[in-house]
Amino acid sequence: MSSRPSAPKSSETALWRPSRDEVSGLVEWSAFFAAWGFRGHWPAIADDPEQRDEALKLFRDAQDELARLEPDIRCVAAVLPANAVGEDVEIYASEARDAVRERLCFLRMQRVRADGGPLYSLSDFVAPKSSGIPDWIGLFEVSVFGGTEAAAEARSRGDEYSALLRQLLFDRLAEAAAEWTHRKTMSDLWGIGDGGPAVGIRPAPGYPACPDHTEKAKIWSLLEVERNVGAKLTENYAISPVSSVCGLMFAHPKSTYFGIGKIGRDQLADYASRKGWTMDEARRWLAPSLDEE
Amino acid sequence: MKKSEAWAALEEADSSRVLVLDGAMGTMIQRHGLTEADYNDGRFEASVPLKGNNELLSLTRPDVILSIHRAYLEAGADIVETNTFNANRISQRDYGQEGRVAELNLAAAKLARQAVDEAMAKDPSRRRFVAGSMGPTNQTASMSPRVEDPGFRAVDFDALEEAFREQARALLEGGVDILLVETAFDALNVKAALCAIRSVCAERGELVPIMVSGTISDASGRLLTGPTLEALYASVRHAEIYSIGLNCALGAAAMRPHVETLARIAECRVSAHPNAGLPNQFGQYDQDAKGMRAELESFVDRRLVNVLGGCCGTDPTFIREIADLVRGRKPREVPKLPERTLLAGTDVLEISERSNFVNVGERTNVSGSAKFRKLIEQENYAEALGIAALQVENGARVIDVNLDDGLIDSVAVMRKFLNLLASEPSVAAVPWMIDSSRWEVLEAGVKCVQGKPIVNSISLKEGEEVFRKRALRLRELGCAMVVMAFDEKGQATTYDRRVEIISRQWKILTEELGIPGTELFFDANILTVATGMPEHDRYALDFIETARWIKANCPGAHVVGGVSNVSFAFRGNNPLREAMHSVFLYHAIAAGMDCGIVNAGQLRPYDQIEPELRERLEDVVLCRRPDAAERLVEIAESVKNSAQAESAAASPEWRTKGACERLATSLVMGVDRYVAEDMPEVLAELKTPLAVIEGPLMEGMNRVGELFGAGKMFLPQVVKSARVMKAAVEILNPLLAESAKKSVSAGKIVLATVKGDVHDIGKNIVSVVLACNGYEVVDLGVMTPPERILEAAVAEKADAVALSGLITPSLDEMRVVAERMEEAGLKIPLLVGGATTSKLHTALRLAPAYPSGVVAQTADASRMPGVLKSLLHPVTGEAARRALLEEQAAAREKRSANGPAAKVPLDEARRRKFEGEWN
Repeated sequence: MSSRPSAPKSSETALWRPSRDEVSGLVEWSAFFAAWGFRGHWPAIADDPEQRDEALKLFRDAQDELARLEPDIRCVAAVLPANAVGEDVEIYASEARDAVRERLCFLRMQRVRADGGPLYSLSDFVAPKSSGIPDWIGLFEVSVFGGTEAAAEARSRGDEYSALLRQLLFDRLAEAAAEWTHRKTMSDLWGIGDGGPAVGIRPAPGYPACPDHTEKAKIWSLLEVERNVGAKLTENYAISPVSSVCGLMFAHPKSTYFGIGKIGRDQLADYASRKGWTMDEARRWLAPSLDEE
Repeated sequence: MKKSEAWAALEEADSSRVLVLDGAMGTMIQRHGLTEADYNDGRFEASVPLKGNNELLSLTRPDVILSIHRAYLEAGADIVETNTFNANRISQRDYGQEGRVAELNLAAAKLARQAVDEAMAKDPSRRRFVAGSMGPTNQTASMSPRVEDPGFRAVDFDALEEAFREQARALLEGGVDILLVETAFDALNVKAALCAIRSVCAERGELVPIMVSGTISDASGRLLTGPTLEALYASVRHAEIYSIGLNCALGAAAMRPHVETLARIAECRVSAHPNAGLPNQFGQYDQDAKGMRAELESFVDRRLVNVLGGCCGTDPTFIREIADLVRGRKPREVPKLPERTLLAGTDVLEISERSNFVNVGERTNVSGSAKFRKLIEQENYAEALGIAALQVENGARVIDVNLDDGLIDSVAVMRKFLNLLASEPSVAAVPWMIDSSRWEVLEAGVKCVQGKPIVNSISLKEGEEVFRKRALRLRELGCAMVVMAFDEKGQATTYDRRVEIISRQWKILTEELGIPGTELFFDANILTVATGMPEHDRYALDFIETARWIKANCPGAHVVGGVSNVSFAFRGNNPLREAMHSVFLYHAIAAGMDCGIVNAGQLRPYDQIEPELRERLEDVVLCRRPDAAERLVEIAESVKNSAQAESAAASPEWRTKGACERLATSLVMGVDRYVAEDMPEVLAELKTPLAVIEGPLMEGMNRVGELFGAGKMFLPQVVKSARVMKAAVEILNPLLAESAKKSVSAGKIVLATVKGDVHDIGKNIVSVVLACNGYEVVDLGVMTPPERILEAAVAEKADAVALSGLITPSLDEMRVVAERMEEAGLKIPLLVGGATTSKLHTALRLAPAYPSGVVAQTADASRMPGVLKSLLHPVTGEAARRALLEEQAAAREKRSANGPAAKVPLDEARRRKFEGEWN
């Protein structure tokens, strides 16, 4: 089995503003129920005699509320020329690949694997520069505006139930919009697939495969997120509005989600030098990936 | 108006550096140890001693004032303030010197001018400026000094404007470059000052730079009369000010978070001149220049300000440090913010492209509500205020106030009612819409409002001349305006006429008068449909189409309308009217209507309207068939009857039980609709509100807590129960004594999402669950800086602090809070929660940062009450805290004994990478 990266149809930055109804079909309800303390997956929850009644009531309320919400959904994405150099992925200014526009930094797993499986880094899913094979990486950001105001409105009436419903629904809509954007990017920009479930993965900075939140700033500049969408990063790289998702898209057919786990001091020093950080800065931003010393 | 020469010079000076304002005048005068003879050399006739009236010294001891100016300039000040803080006729009245105001300002301005000119002659390399200081006067136009008469005012807008005009005129005459409206504690006083200054500038033919500087009076970051800084900014944004800032009351450290707020929102420059820390018990300031400099460093590092100086307690040594601190450093960059409308009561309401529909409460209108008119006629203002408050509770984001009635003295009653409304915090918080068909009522009304109101309305009814004049006056007074589609020929009723009038109004207002589109709310006339007259059939549809046209052709402008007009043909049939309003709004909002005057309590969700009714309503609203009105009338009666039947049928079996049992059941079932109905009976039975809380309410809540704890109840039910509890307690609260409130509280918890994090769902769930278990929760919201958390924990005498955060950097922020709690000498428990928190991290990183207290981590909200209860228990709490500390110590030991898990060296890990099998 071998893979040859396929060239995108367009490397332009695309902006989309799907309607509520375009993305609501992609809402993942299991996470919604988990947030309310229900156990198991949807729709299996509806078959559990212990949980069924309340779950269905909640589901109905959620559907009613969803129909009333007026989310303002904004998505931005691009597929850009890229090659891997070690755990970095270089993004190039053009297909000539002679100027590096940005360098994404990733970590590599260092845990002892009894099964002898690979020690992944996300950079493994992009063709190495040394191979001479051109490859690409996708980036996206989606934000759903209006949730904070909608929740505050309910809260101002003392209706905490509707406020929480609204907040959770806006979060679900953001995740659904991320799935929608992933599919749309793959079919419309990258030319892979027909708009159904996307090939590959879309990990988000700050999550197990790439735990460094500060990498979000690169997505912000590459996609001009603040101008194109209006979303902002806080000093600690949380996204405002809160119902937002950003991430990277890898099209390699064998790309998979994984967790970096804890890293060693050798990699901490290596990563710090790649990021131009002092060791203290590296310790601060990678704290969750370090052994508590 | 063209800008003055000084304005251009200021802009040139401030482009590359932070300008240094001078320090305190009063502090410096005190050091001269002056006596009554210095203040009054015999020239003033006075019945009271004049010592302390510092403004007089500009005449009697010009040498003292001049030497102070010189010392500040010497120390490096770029701007010196005139000795005129209280040189206005309202403040001078206390000394009987109101006749001297012009003279005092003129003399003071000349002294400062002289000092600056000398300094410039000595060193012409850098321009220096004179700012005319204008204090707030000693009276407020927004609050009553009499507790028993909240509608009374010691001073009004016109008197303030006149006093400020007199002062500004003399200061400019004396040669000041800038006017500095400082130490502002009331946004209405500020607006009067701005109006005065702009009118004096208009006389002189050029606009001078105006600096506005507010004073915060409490930890909540509000001015004395209530406005937040955002609301203050919204109130003055129209006046083309040079800068907004803060001074006095706070030292630099305490002022910083508030300056950050201004730095974020202000589209003009930002200034700060804090006090030298906080005064000691003798009213003196202990902080020295170096101490203040250390606290100001972050202002400059973070580029928060364009102008920096000192207030009470500072002297030239401070200014020297500040000048040295800012040397070579970059000033704040004035941000370019997206176009938006800012309205304000004491809170701000921002309307941008992204906002939801803004509903304006319509019930405080004498011609729309018979009940309200009766209350006003009977001068029963207390209940009339209740109607306003209820609308806000029901979700109104703006309140419309209309007192037009032939039998009422509308001007006087408008003043009276608005002044009273200002004393009702929930209503004062939202922006008001001053509504009248009479110009004098509108003008009188807006002069009572300290936020940024909307005026409803102006039109071309009386021709262009009047229209222009009124629009400009409203702009001067800082109001947004409703512009009605009405011209010399009458009201627009067709699409073409609406567009014709609105385009003409748009052109005059924006192109000719330069009013931003965001200040305009076009009312395209919602008129009654289904009247039986075929010429009315298109009324609703034409409005909707006009809304679309406005949004396409008038960028920034809003579309507003009085919604209940549309259904006027169905008076007496409220179920039908409410459904019709929903259908109309559904389509109008889609077309661009973004603001509506509605009965906020009575809007039915569009998708809950029965399909046949909805279709017939849509036929009418969208004018889809010629017999639409007839078909709606056909079913109108049955809609009314079935709504009545529905409400009668909705009485389930448990409703037949005793009142206490019914209340407890409401709580357990999470049904809020019977609470108000059952409460009087419960109160009659149990006698005191405390007994109601300790009886059926606690019983119900305990049952909820047990069921939830046992996994037999789900979170949505708990949240609904909490909603019922809240409704019940709100009814009882006004009847409860303070001591009783305390006795029913299980403890007070300060809750926050930490700095840099915006995730608050987990935190909100915790808040509900805690409230259900009898805790009082002080929720500080998201992105909460550590200093605010500490401040609240101390000020609220909290029993515990609970922190939430989702992203990994939030773990670090939690540690900072733990450290600060240690530094502050607190001992109360700190609880943390959120996806990335863990028992291990808490033991290793958080607990050691707060050795005087305990830090507990809880995995989910349902565990919080249990953990808190055990940690705070008066008898066993101590043991529980010790057990937790021991558990954490054991976890740390185990960790260091085991050492970290083995790692594959990086080189080897690289060799074992995933192979992409590229070819």
